[in-house]
Amino acid sequence: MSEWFAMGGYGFYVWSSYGMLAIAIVVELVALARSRARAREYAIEVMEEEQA
Amino acid sequence: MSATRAIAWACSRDLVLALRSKSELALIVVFFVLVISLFPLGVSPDPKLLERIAAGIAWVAALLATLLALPRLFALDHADGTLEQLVIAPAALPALVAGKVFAHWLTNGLPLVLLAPVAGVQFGMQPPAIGVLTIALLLGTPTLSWLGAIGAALTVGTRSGSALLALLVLPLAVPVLIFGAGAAEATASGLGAEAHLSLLGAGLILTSVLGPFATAAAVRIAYE
Amino acid sequence: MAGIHWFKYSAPANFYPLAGRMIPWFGTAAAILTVIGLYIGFFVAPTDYQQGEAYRIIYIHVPAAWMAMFAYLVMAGWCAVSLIWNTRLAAMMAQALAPTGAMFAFVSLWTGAFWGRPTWGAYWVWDARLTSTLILLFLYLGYIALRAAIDDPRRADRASALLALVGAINVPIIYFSVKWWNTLHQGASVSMTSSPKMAQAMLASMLILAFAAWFYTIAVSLSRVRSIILMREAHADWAQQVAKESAK
Repeated sequence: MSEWFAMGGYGFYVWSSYGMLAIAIVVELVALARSRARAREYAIEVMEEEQA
Repeated sequence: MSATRAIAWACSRDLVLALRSKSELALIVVFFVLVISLFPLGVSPDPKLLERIAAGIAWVAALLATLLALPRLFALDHADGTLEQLVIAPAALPALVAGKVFAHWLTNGLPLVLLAPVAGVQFGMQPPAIGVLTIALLLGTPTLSWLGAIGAALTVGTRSGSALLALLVLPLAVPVLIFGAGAAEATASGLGAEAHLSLLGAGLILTSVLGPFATAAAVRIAYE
Repeated sequence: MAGIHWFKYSAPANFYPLAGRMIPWFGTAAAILTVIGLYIGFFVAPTDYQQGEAYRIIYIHVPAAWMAMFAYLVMAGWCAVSLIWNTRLAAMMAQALAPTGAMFAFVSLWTGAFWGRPTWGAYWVWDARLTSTLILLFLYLGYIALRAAIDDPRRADRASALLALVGAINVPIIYFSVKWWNTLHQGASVSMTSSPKMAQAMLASMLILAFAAWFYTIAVSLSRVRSIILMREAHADWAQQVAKESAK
């Protein structure tokens, strides 16, 4: 297993690449969830302002 | 008002306005020489190295000097409401814009073209290469003015700094930089710069034809 | 096809639920394809004779580069639609695509660097494709920055749309000029196009992951556009209802 992980000595490069992709995807999905929440909060805010 | 008259009117108006603040015009020239002088200081005064990178440096300096002068193109007119008047004027907006950009080139691009031989000598370039560099700048600086005009029109009145304008314009200017600097290098290495200069010429024609309409569209977007 | 009134979906209110239904399909497809592609890439494809295990980076480097390019073209397409038909939704779709396109451009550059280092000795080589991708990243950032600098959303729509179209016209010109510049200065350096001779499994993995990237982009953009729609249509009753529902 650890031999596979070492990627023939190139482990650093391979996992830095895949790692960055994974980080980028996670960051994107988290940012997406947060902007979704923010958009909903904003719409509710506007609704409450209009009802007031 | 016919298109030619509109161009002439807008151009002469902008020239008169620009010539009122001669110090600003001189500043662009000084900036160009200053930037060029920084490279030997920052890199190395080795004459062989400088001769090789001279064309590239001259072009980068020309790019930065053009960027520096761009906000003036529309910002002042926008601030005092003139630009809005130009949009609703009976003359064709692309023609008015073309006049403004031509005036802008006369006061900012042309001086750089005239300074190119000075820069060339400063860097020990050979006469043929200096000549080609000058012609390349002559063909390329109007293109830079048009690319810059589109960027300036898109950002007029927004709270953006010159960094945004640079981000918008510089990537688009890369081909001009490559062929402009490449022309002088090709001459220096004996390969001949016909291809480079033809491409620069083609770019000039393309941007001169499409630029007015794209810039006018961008200005209109600012006032919709 | 005749019975469906497609144009009704050009209204944000109608597109919102449609997009919501599409996201799980594309998301799941992307995930499945990713697993399959990576499995084939790592466990079926052989080790490359010249580059060793390091070559396995191309499985994500190339699809990322393709996606960055493709997303920009689609984005520019939506921008053209938004200008021609003066619609909000098309502009919102372009707005939704940009961050993901930029992400793929960046990942393409990063993975390119980490592939280049063990293979050719340098983290960065000024080859035509990498340099063009770098400029593409700047074009994305310019689009996003211009949107951010303009307060009025409709003006931001139109200005950034014009910018994206000018950029799209320039992309082939930029690519051509960079390629020219690169071949002139090649010397002894190698270019990224000298990838390992592709075994079947390598090619399959790359193609599968390219589709995975495409479906991922669709899913993520649809999700993002829903948030954009809610933000920009917050004054509409339907949007407020939807927000209230999801808050429960």
